[in-house]
Amino acid sequence: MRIAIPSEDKILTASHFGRAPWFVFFETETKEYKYIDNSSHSDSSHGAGVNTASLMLESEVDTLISPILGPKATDLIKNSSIKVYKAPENSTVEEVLTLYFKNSLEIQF
Amino acid sequence: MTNSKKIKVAFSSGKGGTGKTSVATHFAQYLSLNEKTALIDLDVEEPNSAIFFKNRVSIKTEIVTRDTPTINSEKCSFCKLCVQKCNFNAIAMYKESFKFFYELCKSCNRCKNICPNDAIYQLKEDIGEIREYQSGDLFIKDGLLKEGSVQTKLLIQAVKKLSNSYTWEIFDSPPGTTCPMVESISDVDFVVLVAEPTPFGFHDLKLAIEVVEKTVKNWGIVINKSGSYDNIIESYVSKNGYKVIEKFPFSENFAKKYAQGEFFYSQFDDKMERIKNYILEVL
Repeated sequence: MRIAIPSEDKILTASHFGRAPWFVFFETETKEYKYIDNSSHSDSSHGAGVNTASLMLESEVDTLISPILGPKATDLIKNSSIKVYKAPENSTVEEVLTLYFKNSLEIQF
Repeated sequence: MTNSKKIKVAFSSGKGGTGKTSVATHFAQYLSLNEKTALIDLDVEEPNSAIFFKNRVSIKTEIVTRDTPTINSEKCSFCKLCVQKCNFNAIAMYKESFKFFYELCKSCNRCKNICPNDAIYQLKEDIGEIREYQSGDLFIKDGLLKEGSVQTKLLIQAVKKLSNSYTWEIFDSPPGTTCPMVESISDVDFVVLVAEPTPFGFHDLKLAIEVVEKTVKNWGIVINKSGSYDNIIESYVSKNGYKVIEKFPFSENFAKKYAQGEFFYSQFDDKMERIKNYILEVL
């Protein structure tokens, strides 16, 4: 299963889903991390959320742990099979994953 | 009048409530006594210039639409060329499903024009209506943005497009210094900044001057609700070499009449004449 977490710098979680510069993908089977450069989307002046949400769909993400999604990203992701959890503010990717495996994250949808 | 020269004047301000509509309506009414004049209310979120003209007769109301694209799934190969080429990221496509975000779409038609399968066609979206009135010799036009629509600029452009020619086109601008205000002064000959001598009015006047200086060549200031605090504006104006064309005094009686939707600057025809002459002089 693939878990995606928006990140500022590959370590801290991002404060905004659509404009996150990086995405950390964690593969639960192999315990591998992948770092996806989202700067082409995060810098766009319009519709960053649309493109970033499309990236999630195309990357076949199963679970997304993110700050509250914007309305357009919500629109796209809600209609998919991706499960979305709320990432606590000012946390690291590691902390968020630990909370996820402890089952203590709030569900967005 | 057989004057063939066309003069477009916008009444703007940074702050709301300084008296744009008051001065613009009275100025247009005054001009219309002798010259072919149109009063165009470009505050499409709250058009209220026409309210002052109680004897107005409605001539025309027209729905304004814009093109919004959609996809014919039977023709679409889901190649995503439209998604990649959209400058506004208004299209999302995943496998064989798609979604348009019309609040991002600028109706530029690029997706339709580049589609290799001719799969994109246009729908019409209502963005509001334009309304035309006649009051005596004055032609009045305004627009009303549809609730929830963000296509303010498009509707303002539609309101500005007149089918007849007028010697004077008087624009009542929306307040603020953002896109709708900029659109309302984008192709005028002269901007009258209606300023209010209060700390708030002064603050927003400076913002408006910044925009106006970058947008038009000729402009001047009218102080409305003038009184003992005019110095807030006047010292700044003289320091920077700007021009106060005219002043309208503050009076409770004006406020009362305004609240009743009645004309109250009719005794100031001389002031209107001076504003007109100043504009003609600098153009």
